[in-house]
Amino acid sequence: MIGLLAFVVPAWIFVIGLYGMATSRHLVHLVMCLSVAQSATYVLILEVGYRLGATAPVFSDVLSTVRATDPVVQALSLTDIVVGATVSALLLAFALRIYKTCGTVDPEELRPMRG
Amino acid sequence: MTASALAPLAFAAPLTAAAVIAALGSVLPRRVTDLISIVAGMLTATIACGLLTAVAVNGTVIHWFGGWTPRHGVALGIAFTVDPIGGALATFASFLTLSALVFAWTYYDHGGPEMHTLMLVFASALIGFFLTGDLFNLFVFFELMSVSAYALTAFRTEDDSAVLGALSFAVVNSIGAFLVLIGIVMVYARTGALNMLQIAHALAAHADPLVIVAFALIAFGFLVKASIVPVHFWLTEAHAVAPTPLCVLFSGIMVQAGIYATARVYTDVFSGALAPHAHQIRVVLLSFGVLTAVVGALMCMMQQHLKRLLAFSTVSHSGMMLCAFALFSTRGLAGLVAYIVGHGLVKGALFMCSGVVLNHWSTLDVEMLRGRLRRTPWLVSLFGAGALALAGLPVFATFVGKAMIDRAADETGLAWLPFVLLFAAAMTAAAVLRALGTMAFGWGPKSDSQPAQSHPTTEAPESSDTGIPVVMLGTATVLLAACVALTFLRGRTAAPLSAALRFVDRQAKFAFTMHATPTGPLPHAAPQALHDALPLGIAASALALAIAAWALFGSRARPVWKLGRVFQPFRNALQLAHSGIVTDYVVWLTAGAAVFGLAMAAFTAGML
Amino acid sequence: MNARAVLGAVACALLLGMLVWGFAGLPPYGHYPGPYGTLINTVASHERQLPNAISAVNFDYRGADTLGEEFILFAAVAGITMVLRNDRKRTTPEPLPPTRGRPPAGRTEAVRLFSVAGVGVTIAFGVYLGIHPHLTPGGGFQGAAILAGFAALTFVGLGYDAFQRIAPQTRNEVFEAIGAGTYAVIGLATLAISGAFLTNVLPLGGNGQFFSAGTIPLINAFVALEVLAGFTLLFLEFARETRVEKEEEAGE
Repeated sequence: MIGLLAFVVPAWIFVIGLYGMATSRHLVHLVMCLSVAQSATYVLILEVGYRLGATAPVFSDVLSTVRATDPVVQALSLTDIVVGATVSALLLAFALRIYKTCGTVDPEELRPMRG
Repeated sequence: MTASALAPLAFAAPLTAAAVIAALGSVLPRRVTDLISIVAGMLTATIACGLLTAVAVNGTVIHWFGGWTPRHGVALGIAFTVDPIGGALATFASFLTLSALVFAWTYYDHGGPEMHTLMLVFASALIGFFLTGDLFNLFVFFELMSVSAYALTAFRTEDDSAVLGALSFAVVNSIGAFLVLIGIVMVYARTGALNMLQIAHALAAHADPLVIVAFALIAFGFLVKASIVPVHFWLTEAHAVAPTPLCVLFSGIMVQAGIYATARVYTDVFSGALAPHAHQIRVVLLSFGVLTAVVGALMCMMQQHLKRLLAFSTVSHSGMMLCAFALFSTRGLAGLVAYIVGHGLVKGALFMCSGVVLNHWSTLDVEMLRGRLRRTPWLVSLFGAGALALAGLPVFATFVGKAMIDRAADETGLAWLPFVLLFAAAMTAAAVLRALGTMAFGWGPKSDSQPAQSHPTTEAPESSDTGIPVVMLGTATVLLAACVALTFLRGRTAAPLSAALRFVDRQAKFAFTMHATPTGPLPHAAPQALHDALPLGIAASALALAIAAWALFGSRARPVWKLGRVFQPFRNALQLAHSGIVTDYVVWLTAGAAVFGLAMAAFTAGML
Repeated sequence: MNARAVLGAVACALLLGMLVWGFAGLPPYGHYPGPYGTLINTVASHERQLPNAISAVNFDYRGADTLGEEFILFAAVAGITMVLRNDRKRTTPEPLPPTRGRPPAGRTEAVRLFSVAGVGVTIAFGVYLGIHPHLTPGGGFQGAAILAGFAALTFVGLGYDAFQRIAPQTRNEVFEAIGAGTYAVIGLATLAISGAFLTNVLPLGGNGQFFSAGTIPLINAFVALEVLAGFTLLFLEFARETRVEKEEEAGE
């Protein structure tokens, strides 16, 4: 049973991030919820590559035949984190600019032009 | 220079050029950086052509990054597996980028070189996206394409709603990317591989909930990029505010990249495992495709803003392309590729024309432009030709694609589909024709469907040159001319068909990728005769003209013809849904993903 | 808008159910089966003469992914500078006027002392972490992200003007472009040399030595440069938002 719980955690984090975004009233809060949803992917990626009782895949003091966790997922999560951080930064810059031009950061009051 | 080396060169060349422009942009004069970017664009297009030729000769080209060839059936490195469809689309992307860069020559005499840097990065990401054979690499290029697109959409910062459009775009597409990533991770956990063909081999013919959910997530994430209903809202927001060269690329090839990725991932990764359920999956995909085509077409007719009108027509055509893929037939795939190229050229030309309008008259509101295009016959004829090309008039390449898709639909037993697609295409064409009638000749009733919110009726021009530069009209004309030229090319149906045959041949590609067994030249395909598709092609254009005429002159007819009132609540509901509020879009996306995935699960679970 | 909250909750619940249903098929937690990671663990340290298999994956086996990611950072930073800078004139900005009559709290001596002290520690630690990805679990990203913290510390402790003098904007942009561009150029060069993009062509040295693992430390250095310059540029742009523009002089 604990096995499935390990994977329910990232699913829950993702979904709660989405819900936070759906009900958000502040753009910075929205971007942070996006960050939360993204962190669910980090958790999932790293969980998938884990091995119980294994060491890190750095073989400076152990032989490379020792049981180690998956290095590929760790490299993938590194890429993912950088992507996530930069997208968050970009969105925050957008939020800042929107505040300067529209005077509000409430998504419900921000409607682009229609035609 | 071997063929295999051309693949990484095609994506690394524009990337390096982008870095060079960024490094030197502050010291070099503006025109020099413009020139560098155009030269880089030409270089990329040349390399892509060379690659495509190599693929046409050799059948498939592969490049293992870092020289890491597979070992004991396990792929160690990243592979660019270039098959004819990927190569063709990458070449098309490079040419479209070149035309957009040339169009942007007259743009923005003020401002920095960031636009060119980001456009080259965007182009490089697109090319890598079409060429790669590794699932996570696909995701990385997807994100690179997306991030440079977000940044570029916010380029016109003097326009208040530009950044808002970019925000909607960024939020919705990011969530789509997360969905793709979750799907990729699930597949990786099951198979321990990231090379698409290796994954397919490891999945074998076994389809359990994990595989189905993983495919649903990956497909839906890519369909967010492809602006399928209900995740299409971002496209119209972004197009309304993005600079014109960007709109050319977005509607011309970026949206279609989403459809391509869905097709590629299904074919290369899931087609073995999900083959028993193909029929059920087709139902789900077709439903979404038809819904998108129809909703897009209807919304298109209701638009007064030229770029939003064109954006909704992209949504509609994207739905048609999804339908084409959903047929799961080789002929359908061939038609899809031909249609992507034809539609991309037309849409690019139409957006360039709207860019000309914006530049010269500082507005994109059809009502404000009433009668003003009277003295620019070249522009008017470009608009008219583009509209008819959208309908699939039999002198344009869109007709070729549509004909192949229609025949594929008949072969699959879906004889009703060509008529739905015809209706949607005719509606989108009619919308452009209606706008043209008002802009060029002052026809049509005064618009009474202004929404309650005020919107700016003039916008900042995109260039300080308020004449109509020949460069702008020239590039649009070249694109439309290319669309016509492709229709009369020898091998216009045979080439896509043999490309599609190779695309679906997973076994051959797997043997080539993992065991270096050469695939041999492309399979020969019999060309499809197009004259029995002529009636439908002409009918679509005729229908488009009829609908446009009704829209322009229908109010003078007797009341019994006024069907508008019947549809009014429907139209109100649609307008309400397109609220512009980004949190609404998040809810639509979540609901869409859940419905899509659960529908997939429900349909396939019956067989488990 | 309660309708949106309700619809959102329902949609999220459905999505959660679908995800969990799919995740039930994942291999049990802690039992990663797949061949990819196991194969790399077995061969990486011998073939590339380095103990850190993750760096090998990042910069060698899957170097193209890291190249793409570098340019994502590049594109995002370009976008941020574009959005935040657009109409900024290049005059010296002044600090914002006090909000609601409350003057900004001045910088105390304690803040300045700890910030300046912190800068030294940050730089040392960041360089230490970033400089040998092949030997330790660190790497260019991690080290550079920490190094970029010095920018924030300078801003907090010494103020915007000092920050601006230490990390001027154009220099950051150039370094960032150099970092990203050189990665691509290394790839092209290796393409020319050995026929495959981003092949490890430099001498591999001995396992555990500083000069080992070929191109990996070299690429890592440029990645670190780009990340450092990019993040510093980011902080600079956001810090500028705390200033307000002086009125443009007539005739400028």
